[in-house]
Amino acid sequence: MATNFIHPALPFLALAAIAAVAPKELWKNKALRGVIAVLAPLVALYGVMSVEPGMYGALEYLDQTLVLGRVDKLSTVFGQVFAIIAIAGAFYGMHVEDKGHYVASSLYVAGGFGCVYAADLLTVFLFWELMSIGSTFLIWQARTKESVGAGFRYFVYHTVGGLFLLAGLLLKYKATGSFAFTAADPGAAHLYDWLILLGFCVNAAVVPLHAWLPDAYPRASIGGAVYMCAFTTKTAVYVLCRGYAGWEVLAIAGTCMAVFGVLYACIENNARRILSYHIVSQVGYMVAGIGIGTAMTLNGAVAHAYAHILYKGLLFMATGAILYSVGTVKLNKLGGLAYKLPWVMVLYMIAALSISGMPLFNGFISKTMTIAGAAEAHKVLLALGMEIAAVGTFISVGIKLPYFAFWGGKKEYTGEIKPIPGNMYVGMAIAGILCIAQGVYPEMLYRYLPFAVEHAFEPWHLDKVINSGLLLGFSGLAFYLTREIITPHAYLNLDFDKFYRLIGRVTMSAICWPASKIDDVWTEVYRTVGLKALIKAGDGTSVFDKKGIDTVVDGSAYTVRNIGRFGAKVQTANLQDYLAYAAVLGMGIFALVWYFG
Amino acid sequence: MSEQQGLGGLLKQWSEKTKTFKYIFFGVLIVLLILNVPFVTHHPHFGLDKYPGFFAAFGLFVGLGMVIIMKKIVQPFIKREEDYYGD
Amino acid sequence: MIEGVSIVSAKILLPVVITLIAPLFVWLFRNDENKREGVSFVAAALTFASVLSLAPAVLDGKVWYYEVTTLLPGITIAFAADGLSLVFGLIAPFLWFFVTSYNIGYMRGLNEHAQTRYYVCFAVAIFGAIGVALSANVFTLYLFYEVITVFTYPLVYHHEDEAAKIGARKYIIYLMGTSKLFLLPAMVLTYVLVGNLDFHLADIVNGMFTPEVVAESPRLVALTYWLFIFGVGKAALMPFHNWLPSAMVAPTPVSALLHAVAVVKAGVFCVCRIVLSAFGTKTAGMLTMSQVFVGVPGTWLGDLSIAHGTAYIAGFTLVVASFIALTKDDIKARLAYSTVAQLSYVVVGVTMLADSAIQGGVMHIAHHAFSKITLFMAAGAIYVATHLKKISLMDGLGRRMPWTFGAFGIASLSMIGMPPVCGFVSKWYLINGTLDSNQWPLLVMLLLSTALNAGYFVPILYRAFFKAPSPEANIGQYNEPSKTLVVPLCVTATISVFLGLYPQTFLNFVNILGKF
Repeated sequence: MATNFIHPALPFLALAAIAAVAPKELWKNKALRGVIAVLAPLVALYGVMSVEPGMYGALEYLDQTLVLGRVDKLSTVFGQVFAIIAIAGAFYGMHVEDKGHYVASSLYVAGGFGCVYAADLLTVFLFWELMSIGSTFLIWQARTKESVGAGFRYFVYHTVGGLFLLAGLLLKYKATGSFAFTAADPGAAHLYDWLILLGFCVNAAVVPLHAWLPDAYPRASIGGAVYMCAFTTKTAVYVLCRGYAGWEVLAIAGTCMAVFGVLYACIENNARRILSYHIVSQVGYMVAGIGIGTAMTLNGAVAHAYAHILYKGLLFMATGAILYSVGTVKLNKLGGLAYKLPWVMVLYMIAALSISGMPLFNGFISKTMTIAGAAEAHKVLLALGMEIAAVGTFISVGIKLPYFAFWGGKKEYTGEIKPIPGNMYVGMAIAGILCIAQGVYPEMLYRYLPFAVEHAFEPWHLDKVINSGLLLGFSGLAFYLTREIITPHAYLNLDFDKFYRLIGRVTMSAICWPASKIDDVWTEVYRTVGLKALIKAGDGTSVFDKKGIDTVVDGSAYTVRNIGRFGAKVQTANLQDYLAYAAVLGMGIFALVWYFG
Repeated sequence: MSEQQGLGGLLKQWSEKTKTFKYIFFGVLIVLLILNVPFVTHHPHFGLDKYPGFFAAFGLFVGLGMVIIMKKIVQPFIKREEDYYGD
Repeated sequence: MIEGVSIVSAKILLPVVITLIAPLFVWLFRNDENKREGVSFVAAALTFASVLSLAPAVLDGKVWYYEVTTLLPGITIAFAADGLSLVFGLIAPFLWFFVTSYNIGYMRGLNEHAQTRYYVCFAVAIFGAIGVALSANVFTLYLFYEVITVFTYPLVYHHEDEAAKIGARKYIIYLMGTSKLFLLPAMVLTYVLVGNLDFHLADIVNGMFTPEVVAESPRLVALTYWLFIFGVGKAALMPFHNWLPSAMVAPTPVSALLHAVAVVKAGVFCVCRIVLSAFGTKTAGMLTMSQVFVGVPGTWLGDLSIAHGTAYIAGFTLVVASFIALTKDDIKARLAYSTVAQLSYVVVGVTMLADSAIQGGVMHIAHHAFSKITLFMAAGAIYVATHLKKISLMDGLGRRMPWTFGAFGIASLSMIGMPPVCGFVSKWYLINGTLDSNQWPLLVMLLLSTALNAGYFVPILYRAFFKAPSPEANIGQYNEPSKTLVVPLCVTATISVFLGLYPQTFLNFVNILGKF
């Protein structure tokens, strides 16, 4: 094992730089860009597997010491699966000529690795923002009308999430004096812990903060979606595992997510949106496992994350292949593809059976660990919720999606089918082989799990296998019985994003436009009020000059004359009048003296 | 590709035999049910799952419930036209 | 003599003298276009070099000083250079150099009239900016402040049409109005209270107003402070900010250099100078709002220090200006309101009085200058190439003008405060400052403005690069404008990234200023 650490983000940053400056003509050569694109994750994988546990890569920035390379079992297992899916994704996306795809995906993946290996929250934040930028561009790379708005909403949403993280980590720094990224104690939670948790939960798509996922992922580019389904949410799972293991609220939130996701998946029409809601559901298992916090459930969450990256990546690759060759993934428009795209169907079914937890595939070995762990920790309700979600998963992703896409009662797909490039099959095959391999030989995955358990988990007990088989089999029966009802129709289903959009609209109409109108009025005040006042004052002074001063001068002459006239009038020569005047005058003076004395 | 047509052709042949697949499917379900009696789990998670057939019933009824409730009851409230948001 | 002075030398007059005679040479060469523009380049380079030559001594902790003449006892024309002077004094001629290239491309590209008058006024405006940067006392500051106002008026009025007339008139009424109504009385009051007008350059804690003066007449000192703050109309604090969007009738290079760099930076520089060198953090932190009859002593508002009160006015400005910017479709109007907001970052920083806040605020003078000038130059380049001003008409344009919009994108990231561009660094220090001074509402305002900045900059970018243009717009006819326009804005964008990775460039000057 080497003592130097090749940070896996480095080869991806290099790939981004190379792709950015490479001449367009050179980049058109598929073999060349393929080799470079696959080389980056291979180097990253080497870097992940070849290093000894420890702390590496201290850097000075903004008067702080950032530690970029915390290598231990937890970061290694995530680093490993990230590198593997990056290899599959590199093969899968090799046919894309657009340089933007390589730059954006590399920056995104580099951000993911950076977060996983960061030892302090400031580093996490910096790479978190990098991930946000990279993934936004992957959405825009689709270059369709819907992707434009979706990318913007995604960016604003993740910026706000990042700000919660920033506020939290700064408050934590002020309170504790350090940015160190360590586990937060659920018993002594501070405001900053909650703020950081909120920031993490945005990326983990915890309900009700999840609506960005089904909004943006179906609209991402074909190659980009493969990366996106893996990195954003699993990085969030990693940071939650690192920092918030054992927080009760996560256990409940996770179970809610698990059920919520499958409920929507049952009624959605767009295949990629079904998968997106599934991400919410499966991440719910992981979040719940982290929330329960025993060694078994934490291991379950990590194992689930590992397996999920592989089979979800494969699911997105397969549906992406359908999108590439047929042009749509709306289930009501598909059907009869099994005979035209048989290998896509086979690879899809491998992933579908994995996600459903069918024995012999890797989903079985990870999902059962989480549920068993939940039950052993006496969280019966949570375990029940997870089983419900498992039923829904099989029905929607395991049967509904492939049935309506590949068969759907239609004999044969009649539309145009573009041939799928070979590299896409290679990418899918890599993921598919690993799904089966881990399912058959679970030790392959279990040996990397970071938490020590009292007794090892044995998935291959006969009763567990039979139970899984029964659950899945009879869920399939349920589908068979309701296959008319569950037929997808082309509708949009309202989700929490209605509220987010409302906030945007209300802000504009209740705050921005009124402020602008007030400003428009105020900006004329200098003229309407100010200048007029000035001119009036000028007129006033001239009036004062003409009327006032002249009047005073003339007036004092008049007044003197008038006083004289009045004085003349007052001289009535009546003594009683004089006495009356004198009395009034005297009393007046007395009153004044008495009051002010 | 010829392999594609090969596998596609194979699948097409199988698609003629839907009845056979139905029998296999129901057959597997019944076999599993029968196996569940001796091999029922001895460490019940939910209390009820020590009874044989629990997971079968669970899968069936939860599945039915989910589809019917979501599709027939919930979706009519939350469904909108595809271009509802205008983007 | 003023306290804290270490070097009395006429060397400090060099930049002032160069920028004073440069306009004369511009006028002399009025009949030869290239020689005339060459004067601006040479003058910019020489000015920058002469200011830079003052830097080593300043970084060593010394202050330059030179008195030119005394008009009355206590009223002199004198120049001084410390860390704060150099932050502003370095960016003005440096950016003048790049804007001259841009000026050439713009003015000749549009075949504008009265170019000599334009370049002469430009040069004199820079003379004013340098004078403000290097002023050693309030009188000199006031003098050069008014020079900037007067000589930028013809630049705003350049197009000589109805819109220009209205815009320029408003510009001069606001700036002259605030300076005559508030700044001038403030100067007079200072002279009466203190006896002279010299800035206290030795440290930022104690100012010109000694504790005895403050104890004797705290209300008058507080009143003087507020007269100064509102007298500096160029800092665009609400409610005296409207001149800025109205000044956008000027040609874009004017908006770029003057209203993103020289004029507005002179404004916030004056605020910094007043808070740090005229009043000092101690006095500004001691006097409360109740002493100007705002709020009752004992309440939060009454006990708020006048400095923090200014910070809240600036915080209000930055949030409201960002809200308004969201509604503007004209690209220069949007950038103008963005400038109003970003200037308030500087004011918020320096009036929070915490160390990191002052670091962030003063650094932002420089960081914002580089990013904002990129944005304005890009807007002008777009106008020269396409005659388009409305953002809603720019869909898809980014693919025809990738360098221009690319630089716009980098500068936008700086405004939003994304690492590793320079705006992130100043924002980082400012946010730390809000935590150090326990002003949570200001923290919320700063974070809110980040989200709002994203809201009004990102659409410009994604529409330009990813939205399909409407067929009537016929985007295909447009191309990247000439290199004289594009190169400077790419350079300033690159510098924005460089400053983000190496913030020590300007941080060193700030640290020397405050002895942090």
